[in-house]
Amino acid sequence: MQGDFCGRTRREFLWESGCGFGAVALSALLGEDFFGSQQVRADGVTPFHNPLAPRPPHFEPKARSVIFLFMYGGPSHMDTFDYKPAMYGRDNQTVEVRTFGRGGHRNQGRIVEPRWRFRQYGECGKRVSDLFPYLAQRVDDIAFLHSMTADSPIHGSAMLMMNSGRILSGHPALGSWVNYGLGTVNQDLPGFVVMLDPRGGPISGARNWTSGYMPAYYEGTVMRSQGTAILNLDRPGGMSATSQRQVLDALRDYNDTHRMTRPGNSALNARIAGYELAYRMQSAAPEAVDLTQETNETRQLYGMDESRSEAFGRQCLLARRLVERGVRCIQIYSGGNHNDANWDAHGDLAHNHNLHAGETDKPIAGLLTDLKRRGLLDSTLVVWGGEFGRQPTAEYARGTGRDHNSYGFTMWLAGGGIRGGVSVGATDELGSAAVERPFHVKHLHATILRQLGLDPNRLSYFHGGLDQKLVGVEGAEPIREIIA
Amino acid sequence: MYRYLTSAAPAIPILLLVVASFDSRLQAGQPADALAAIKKLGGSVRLLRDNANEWEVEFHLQGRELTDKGLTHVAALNNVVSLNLRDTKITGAGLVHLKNLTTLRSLHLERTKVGDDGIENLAGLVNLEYLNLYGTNVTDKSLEHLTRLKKLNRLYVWETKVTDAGVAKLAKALPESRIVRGVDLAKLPATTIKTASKAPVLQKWIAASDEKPPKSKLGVNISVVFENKTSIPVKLFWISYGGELKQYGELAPGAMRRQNSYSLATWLITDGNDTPLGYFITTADQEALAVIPNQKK
Repeated sequence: MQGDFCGRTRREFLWESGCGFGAVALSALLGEDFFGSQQVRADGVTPFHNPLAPRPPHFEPKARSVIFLFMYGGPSHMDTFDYKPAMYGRDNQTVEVRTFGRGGHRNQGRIVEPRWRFRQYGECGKRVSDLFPYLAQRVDDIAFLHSMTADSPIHGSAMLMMNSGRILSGHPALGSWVNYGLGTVNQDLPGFVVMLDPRGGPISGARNWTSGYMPAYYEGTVMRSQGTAILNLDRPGGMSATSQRQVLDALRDYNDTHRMTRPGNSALNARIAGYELAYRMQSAAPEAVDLTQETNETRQLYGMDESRSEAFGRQCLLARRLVERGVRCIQIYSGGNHNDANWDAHGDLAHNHNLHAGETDKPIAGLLTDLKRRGLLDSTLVVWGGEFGRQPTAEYARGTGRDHNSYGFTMWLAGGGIRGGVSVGATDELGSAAVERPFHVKHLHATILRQLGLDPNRLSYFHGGLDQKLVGVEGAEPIREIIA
Repeated sequence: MYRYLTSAAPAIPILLLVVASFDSRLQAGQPADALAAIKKLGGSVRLLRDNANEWEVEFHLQGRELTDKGLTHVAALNNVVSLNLRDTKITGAGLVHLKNLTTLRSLHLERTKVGDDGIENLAGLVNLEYLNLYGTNVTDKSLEHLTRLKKLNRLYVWETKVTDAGVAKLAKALPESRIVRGVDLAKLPATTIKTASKAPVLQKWIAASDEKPPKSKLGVNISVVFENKTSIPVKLFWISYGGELKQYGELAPGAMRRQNSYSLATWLITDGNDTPLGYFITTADQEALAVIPNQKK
């Protein structure tokens, strides 16, 4: 959509248009934002790119920002939001059911009865399990997708699929596409922020928020909710702001000289631009993460008064503050590391899901409530889900652990022009596979882009001989049923 | 880098000409002086979407120093459909400049000094669909000026002085409107999951046998109270995730000790000569009690 990435900057443009000192001085007078907003270079034809300058979307946007709450490991749908009455009273019964997980393909299994009761909530009467007593209060703002499917039931590839639309690495993440399509309105903070579980990151690490074949300035930036927000950002001890500026200016001159002979090197451009963004973030990032500006009531709303939900609550509150500061895409991971440090309940289902739901229930409910009362939920799209769901049957001969399931699982969206209190699609009576109105990950991606004002079938980036799209070269339609 | 730049001055006039044409291409139809003034104040004027003469104006990111005076420049723009003045220094007196912006569909005034004085200027913004007044000084008096805004479907008045009666009155005049006043936390139901039982949960003692105790697994943070009911001093060992033994001190006969731990951790108990007596695998209850039973000779 944005044409070619010729990789030229203001300085190169001045250099190439044959101007000298005078022009450099002039450019300084006009200021960064003047050139930053230009769409054509001096000849009036060639596109000029500040890669992160805000750009008008294709359609009127409903959402300005997206918060993706990533439940890493794969939360069980039939134990959370996808009520399966047919499973109750049938614990340990052997049934014929086709499953495919890390344990391979199977044709029968032993039912694990959901360990939680479901109750009805809200005006819509949605059934939610006792895992989410707080979040359940918000069902009238939420649209549930019960018939999600993905291409892989294995963590690594499924994570890449949910983040970038493909099971192979090297493709840009959703947040990269959003910043490529819309630019960022805040030049002092990254446009794509990722927050990880304190226990560790997800499988494949940074490949989940990479910009892939796009220029590196669209890559996600990992931000911490406690202590130093962004690592390696602080000025070294003993260095004044003035001397740091002098060092950066000198460095930039050397970098520019270096770049002259390497046109079109996006990684190099991103790296040089990174110094300037980092300089501006030195003051903007600590202010953004300064939660002392928040009231006790607000911290309590996010569950920060309880030790189990403190960490995720802090991240959710920080996400709201980043939305207020114009950050386009924020991804928060619940769960990381290995085994039961994430939602991957292969062993003790109750132990695992009580832990992770307990950590996230109040913070997520608090986030939705807080966004709503501040009038931000209208323009903030919140997405919840993991890379897949879980099987109705047990993985092993003993125990309650469930294996992975990409044949059918639940995700939900709220805010950002999404209809609340609706549920679309269905899995079979055991929740083993999507049977009604199955959706692929690309339909979810198409819906997110559409709400942000981007046409999923028009937003493309030329790479490898194809106009690449987040939703794949064949395209995908948004899920209309949940759009308000 | 300047040493590479040779041909200099002649290009400047050409560049200036091109600069002039940039502005006209980019923000066609908007007065250049107003655009320049808004830019100087840190505000931004952007097209709402491709191929449409609809504009959004924002001051809430870099333009928070905006005062009432600056709003005159906004008033000079055409087809503004969205205006964000959150956190700026404007007051109710400045709202007079918004009086004729009848194309506005979305208006953010939250967290400003705006109060009842001046709200009457919004009464004629009949296309307004979204109005955010949270964290301002408005009262029910302001709400009375909004009854003519038939398209208004979202109004935010959290942290203001509006009352139930005032909101009810407006809701009657604008039945389609959703008026958000925040939440009463006290009204939210208490959590139904029991995770932290007050009484400590007794842990299962597994007497030493030929079978090796398992390694600890990752779990949640809990607190374990060990009680030595034997007649000898015992040693506490945590079996790490990798299977190594890590000693956590000794416990005299009859003594109790609180120990920070995680669920699914294995705690091995030995006598003074490191001979295993038995072990505990901690459960997920936040308060755990691990009683080392008296050893039968």
